[in-house]
Amino acid sequence: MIFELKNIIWFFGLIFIQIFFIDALDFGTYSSYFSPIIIIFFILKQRLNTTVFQLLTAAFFLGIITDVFRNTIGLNTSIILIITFLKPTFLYAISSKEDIEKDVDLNLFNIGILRFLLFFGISIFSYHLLFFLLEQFSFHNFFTIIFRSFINTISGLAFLVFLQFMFIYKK
Amino acid sequence: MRNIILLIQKYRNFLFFLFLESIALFFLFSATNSYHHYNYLTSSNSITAGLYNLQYSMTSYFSLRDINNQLMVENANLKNQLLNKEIVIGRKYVRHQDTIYKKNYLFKEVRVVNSQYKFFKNNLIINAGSNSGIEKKTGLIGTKGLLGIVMNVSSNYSSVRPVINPDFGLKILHKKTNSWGDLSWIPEENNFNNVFVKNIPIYTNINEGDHFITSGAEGLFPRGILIGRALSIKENIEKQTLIIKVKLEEDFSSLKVGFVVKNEIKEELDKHLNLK
Repeated sequence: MIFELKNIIWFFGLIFIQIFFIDALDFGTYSSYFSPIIIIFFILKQRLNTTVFQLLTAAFFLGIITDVFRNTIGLNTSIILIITFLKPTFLYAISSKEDIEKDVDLNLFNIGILRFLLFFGISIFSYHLLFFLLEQFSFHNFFTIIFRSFINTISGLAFLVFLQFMFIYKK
Repeated sequence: MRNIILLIQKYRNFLFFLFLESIALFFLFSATNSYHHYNYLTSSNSITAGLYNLQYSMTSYFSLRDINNQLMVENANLKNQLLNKEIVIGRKYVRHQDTIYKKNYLFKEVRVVNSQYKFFKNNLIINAGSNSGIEKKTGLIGTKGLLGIVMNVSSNYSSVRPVINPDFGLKILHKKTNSWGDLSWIPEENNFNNVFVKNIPIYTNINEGDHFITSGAEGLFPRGILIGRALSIKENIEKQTLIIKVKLEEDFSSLKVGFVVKNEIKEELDKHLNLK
């Protein structure tokens, strides 16, 4: 169930970390290469038996709240909805339906490091690519955008691995 | 009818996705016109700006030393200006004590609660709004140079369009030659510490390191506020103009304080500007 307490904490926790930690990080001239968007983790980690209706609703509010803080109203929302809708496509592109249990969270420890990197990597890369394209609203400097998306995906994945070791890992 | 219901049932997830997506896209593309965008769904509204304020109050403690240094420099500059002025006023002008004499520009000190600098359309939030007398379309300067223009005012906060926003535009001057140019920030080519100055005639003698200042043409800023120094100069042979990359004086990644500039006689100037 998506509306349980643990998920609500993750929902607001991720928004908090995104807005007040990741967006506030300063890497000088290279800041635009290290501003990953990690809120999508909330949607990607949900169990397979979560209904699409619940996922889309959560994605909509996750996007809107983030947008209000970042002054990009509609931008994150529209892309997070697309990625939510494409989540099963990405997941079944890298593994068969029987491989993953339906009632476990899709995190590093439950699906394995390789599947985690592939599934989360593809999703987060698509997110960033669409985000930068829609933000700029042109294909100008397309290869720079791909490079930025790639670097942001790597930094995002590294941060998510760190988060999961902090908050999910149990011996 | 039954078939339509069955069809809707079959594709209900996709239809729900389309519904939410269209709301999101509506928000996105009507963002610059929508009443709600300007009044509720911006980071200058009381809830979001309040949270940013909380973050600011927690982190500002750690940068007190830098702020102190900035203020000391600012104080020194002001004292310098003030002392120089008194001599001139004492000798030549007496009207500084005259109540009829109206000051051209008033300054109100504000704190920068949130500064975006790595996005496409960056935005600043300051901790003063209509309750403190801040109005739309007034200028904001920092301790070192130009910052931006106030675009949206709520009762206790205002959002500012900084120089590093593609929608920002201003007429500026090359300090040595007094040549006019247009300032613009191109997200794909500039980062948060440089801008372009265009439309300066090709024969103008500009060297690297030269200062650019505000012109005061729009009445938003007084003339002579520092913007930055020329980093590199290219020639646009087709248009017979120069394209100059300018390093900004202000560091948008570490803004703390600023001054809102209010032009007391802007209405009068606007009448002249609107004359066609």
